[in-house]
Amino acid sequence: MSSIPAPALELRDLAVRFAARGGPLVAVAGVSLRIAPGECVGIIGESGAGKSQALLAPFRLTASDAQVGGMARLAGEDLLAKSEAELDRVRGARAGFVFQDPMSSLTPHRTVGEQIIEVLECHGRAHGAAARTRTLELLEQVRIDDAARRLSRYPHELSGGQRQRVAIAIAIACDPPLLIADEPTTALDVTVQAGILELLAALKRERHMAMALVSHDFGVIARLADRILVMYAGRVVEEGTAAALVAAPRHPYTAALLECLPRLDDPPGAPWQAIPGQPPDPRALPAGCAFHPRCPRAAERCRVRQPQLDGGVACHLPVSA
Amino acid sequence: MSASTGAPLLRVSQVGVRYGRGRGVGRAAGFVALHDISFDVEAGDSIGIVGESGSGKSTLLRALLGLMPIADGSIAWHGRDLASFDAASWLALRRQVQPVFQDPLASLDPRMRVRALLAEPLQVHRPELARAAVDEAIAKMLDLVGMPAGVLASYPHELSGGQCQRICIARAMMLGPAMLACDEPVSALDVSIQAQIMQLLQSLHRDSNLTLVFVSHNLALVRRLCRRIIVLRQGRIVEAGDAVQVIDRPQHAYTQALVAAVPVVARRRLG
Repeated sequence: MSSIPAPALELRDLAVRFAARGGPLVAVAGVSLRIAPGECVGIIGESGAGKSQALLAPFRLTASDAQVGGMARLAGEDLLAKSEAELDRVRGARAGFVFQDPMSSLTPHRTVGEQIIEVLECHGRAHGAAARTRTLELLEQVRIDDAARRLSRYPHELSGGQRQRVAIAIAIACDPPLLIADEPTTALDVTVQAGILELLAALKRERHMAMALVSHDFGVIARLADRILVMYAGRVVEEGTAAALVAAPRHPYTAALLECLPRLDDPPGAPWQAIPGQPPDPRALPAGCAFHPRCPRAAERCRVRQPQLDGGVACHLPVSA
Repeated sequence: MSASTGAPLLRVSQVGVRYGRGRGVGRAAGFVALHDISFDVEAGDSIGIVGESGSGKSTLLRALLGLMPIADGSIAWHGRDLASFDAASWLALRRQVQPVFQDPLASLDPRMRVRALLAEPLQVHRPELARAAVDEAIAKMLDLVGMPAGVLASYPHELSGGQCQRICIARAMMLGPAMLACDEPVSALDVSIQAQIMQLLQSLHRDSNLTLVFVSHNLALVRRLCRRIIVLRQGRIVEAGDAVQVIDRPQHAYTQALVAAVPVVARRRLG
């Protein structure tokens, strides 16, 4: 028996498929990841890369016809073997979730207080006056000003940033060891985004919480993540520590994504380095490496053979360090 | 439209916009969306309008397009006040100033194929053109925006977001406008596609002497694309000037906060 604690979340060869017209749609193909307690893993990729599916499908939070294969363990427990009733006791209690749009993840006709209390009562963490006290504490922990008055407010009476703070309060209400944040700041202004990222960083630090952060934005990922996984067409194409991956990307896709990112010190009027073409249709993935039709380095073997993740990069011709 | 000599392409003078009825006091006075906005846009210039949600960026753009009545001040095109425009002048202005919006799919009629979408501006503004001439203009435009002729028979929903935005830009360019008014044109697009659209806008601006008004919340995009910048906060201009200067050495506390909030990777090489 090893003394190393089980990872907060472990995925091994996770596959997510959907039955679709014109053949099966492969959303996730063989994704493996481990998130240790207190660690934040960022998953970056463009729309349709499979980043949300990889994290949400094991909790059955995506379309009900998703066929999930491989292995998914939460603190050592098999998620895929759990019944719907068992998952109900996991979601919100042992794993918290924060989504992109707090306006649609909160219930519009119930007050902020009611929605937080509901989570506490539902998972048997607190009832009555104790739940109310705990709710107030939670609102303070997510740094909402004037928390006592906000309790009786409806979501539409709050700003976007405050709504996202309420959503985070709900996600951490039961002290879950794992928080999954799916594009948590995409709908927010940059100034508000900065505040939310700071809050998430503080919560992770103070609670030693494991965190999975999904985003299409390298700036957001690099702010919080200890390690980064880059996904393309349902696969992890590169993974590494945040600092190394950003400073010296090895997969041509990662390098191109970083090159596309507009920066505040770009020369004015500099030409834009676009990645030609567009991400492939998941029902008709190209043979070999899925990125090869857009890749400036692609060679014959890239068109034929699927590269495997090896030494942190899935590429036949990685960018040399 | 005859151009008065010396007048800028567009002159915005002390413009105010109110939502609501605009009479009475308190709530009944309406919400002041823009207050005392003044700036000029010279032909061939590129000007970025930045600010947070609710700062009035989109309202300002809509006012420039004549899509939003203004309560105070004036907007003049080539020295002529829009308030004095008759139907014919408006029609002429529409040929000169074209919008590009954030959500390209919502901007295109879902029942029309790409060919019809691109032909429509010519059918409205240049009905005398023969079908062959329209087809030729469409082919040239598709080439300009980097789309294959194969998309002509497609409906918007069959295209990706980036392709739809190219079609929106192509449609806006069909009449050879002097100015594009873009409202967050790449915000709904993935980063790799965003760069493709920025590349297209930049080349149109350079090669066709197209004037650009570019509304965005992304300071890095504005700094790279635009020569000038206007920073809006709560409907007022808090800072304006040369884009690089304003972003690199912001004077107003609000601009400083906006710059400071840009995530670190996006300003890694600074300082």
